[in-house]
Amino acid sequence: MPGPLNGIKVLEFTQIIAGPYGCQNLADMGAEVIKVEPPEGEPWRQFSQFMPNEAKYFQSLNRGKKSLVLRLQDESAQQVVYDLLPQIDVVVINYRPDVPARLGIDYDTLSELKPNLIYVDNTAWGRRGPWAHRPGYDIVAQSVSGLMAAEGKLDKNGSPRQITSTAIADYGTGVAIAWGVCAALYHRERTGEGQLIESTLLNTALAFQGSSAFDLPVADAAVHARMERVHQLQELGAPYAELLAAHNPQALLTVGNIYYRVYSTKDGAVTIGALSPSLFAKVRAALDTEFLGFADPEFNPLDPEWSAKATRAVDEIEERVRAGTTAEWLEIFERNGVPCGPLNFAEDMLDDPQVQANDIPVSLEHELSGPQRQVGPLLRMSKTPLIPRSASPVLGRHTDEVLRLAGYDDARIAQLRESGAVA
Amino acid sequence: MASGPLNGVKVLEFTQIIAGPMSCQLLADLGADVIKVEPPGGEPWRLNAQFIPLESKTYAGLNRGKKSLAVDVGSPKVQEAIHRLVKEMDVIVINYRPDVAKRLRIDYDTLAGIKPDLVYMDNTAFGREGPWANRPGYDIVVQAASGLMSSVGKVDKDGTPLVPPAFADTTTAYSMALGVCAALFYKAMTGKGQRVETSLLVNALTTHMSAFMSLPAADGDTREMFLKALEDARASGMPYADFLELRNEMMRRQAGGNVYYRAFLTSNGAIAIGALSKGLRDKVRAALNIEHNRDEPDYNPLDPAQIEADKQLRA
Repeated sequence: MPGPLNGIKVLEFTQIIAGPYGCQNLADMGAEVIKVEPPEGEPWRQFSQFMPNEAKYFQSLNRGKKSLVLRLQDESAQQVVYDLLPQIDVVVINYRPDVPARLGIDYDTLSELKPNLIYVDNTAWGRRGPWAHRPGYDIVAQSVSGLMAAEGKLDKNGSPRQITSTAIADYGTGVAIAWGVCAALYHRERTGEGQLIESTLLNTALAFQGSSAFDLPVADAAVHARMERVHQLQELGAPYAELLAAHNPQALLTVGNIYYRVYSTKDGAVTIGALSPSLFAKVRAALDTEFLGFADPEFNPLDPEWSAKATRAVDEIEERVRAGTTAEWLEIFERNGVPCGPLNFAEDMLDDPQVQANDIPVSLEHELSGPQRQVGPLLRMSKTPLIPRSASPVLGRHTDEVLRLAGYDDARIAQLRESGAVA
Repeated sequence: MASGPLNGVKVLEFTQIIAGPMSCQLLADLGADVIKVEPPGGEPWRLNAQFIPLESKTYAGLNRGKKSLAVDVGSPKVQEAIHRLVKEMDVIVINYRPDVAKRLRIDYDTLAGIKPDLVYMDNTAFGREGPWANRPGYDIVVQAASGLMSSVGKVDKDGTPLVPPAFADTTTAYSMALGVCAALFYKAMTGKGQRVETSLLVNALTTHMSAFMSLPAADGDTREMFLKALEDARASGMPYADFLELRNEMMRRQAGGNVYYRAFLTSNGAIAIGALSKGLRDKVRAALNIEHNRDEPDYNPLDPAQIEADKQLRA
């Protein structure tokens, strides 16, 4: 059974994470994705490459696609795009705002040729405003959007460190690109209209901080006071660590927090998450404590007396948890019905029984680098199952096939290769 | 003005906290008509840091554009009402543990029996199968169990791991919106509805895809070495902070002379740069006025002499 986007053709002009991941989601859903790459390959092929033009990062973000190599600066390569267009439903592009028009692949040009085209234009900062023409990667979007400061992670010299776990603005945007395409396909199916979809790393990074990037005057007196202090410090030229301390959005919520956190144990760590009154009671039962934390009607982290009492109580609980092993505490929390889990490492998760039971890993065979296992599709669909069709393509593997799809004969293909416009 | 690609689509939401509410807010933003079913006391997120009764910023930020229907879904009468309402719905979004929906008679089989072309988006913490399927799980637990938290590798002064923002929840919200839109497209083409499933677990794993990925040709023995070190550490009861130090040492060896994609401290704050291609790295070298062989053909980040040189460069 084919995926929900079976028969949909996508032309991808993207690199690194957000765009490739967005199009990989479309490929997982059954779309035929043709990835256009420059002759040297997109940069992610070379980042930590283990053999020429093949890297783990690249292979994890480009499964199930075809690779078409075009030197888009050449008019004959741009003509290939125009000749392909009648068969294409969706274009996904992730260049700086001025680049598509320069290469003749902007929305106005392409939608003129194909009026019901769905065109996703992803940029770092959006097409308008003072930053529109600036380049931007996930790390810069993390910094500019406040995500990095929200994590508040410093190295030993007090320098900020990015969110190293994952390029979250990129991955989030990759999912947004895919659902934007699906929503627009739905609209096209009902009305016949195509459209331009714009997404930005900036918007995703802010959407993931919904309650911080949110001004609600009636509730925000404390936030305003805090930010006023931050702005004063900024004017005085205070160093980052001081700004962070003044900003510290989590500080008030973490005073007396026994319910939603990680505890160190003798041999690792155990994580619990309780966010409702009934679960709060279960946590207290598991920890054998009367301390109410933020369930206390008197809860007031600004009151020094309450705060001191809370700190003493939390210290005592932490000390007791630290005296036991992870297995012991998991058993206790589980017995009391508290959502809990151990602290694992991603590398260790492929063979995890829970991960296996839900068919999360997918095994693929790459024609150059052999077997691999990676995270499979995000969704499971009962009528249109998502099945990755292949590993990532070798650079230019499908150039001839795609050119034939555009109506080119062998002589013409050879001529284009000779000129260097395709490879 | 009616607008948005999902204009006219009716969604019935049975979710709370972040992932489900955010996904339905995204659908509402796209023009869908979302009816949120809440218990008479309000969903827990209304009560978290409320500034007036039943209103909190965390709730208000994730539920714009919706209608609220406060009912006790445990009551058979309410279930009857929901079964009548479902006939008018296009989409159900649900985020309960696998066993709960059936108990409340709002599981896929029951509702699809009433409305066959229903799109039913079902999110769970750990998936519907396996030993952990029926366990409750919030973002924080899934971050820990999936390895997302340890990838952050941040501990407080006592060695206790610190918790990043709720990324398992927020990325899952996007996936749920994606699943609904894909299924609606399929329904527009074929007339058929279906059940779509996702989990916090698969989303958390996806966001650090290449750490999870096993690729023997690229991994060489490093993956096995890491897993062996982890096994040994667990067997010996090594504290988390100590193992993290060991892991960071193993990771740092591969990170090499990173002056290209990082944050730098300035005299009055900090600045982030990102350069991931040779052209941009040339620009970084020019801006910092440094010479570095990162883009020379013989650059080997694992060569001990290079590691030392890279260390000097960073300093």
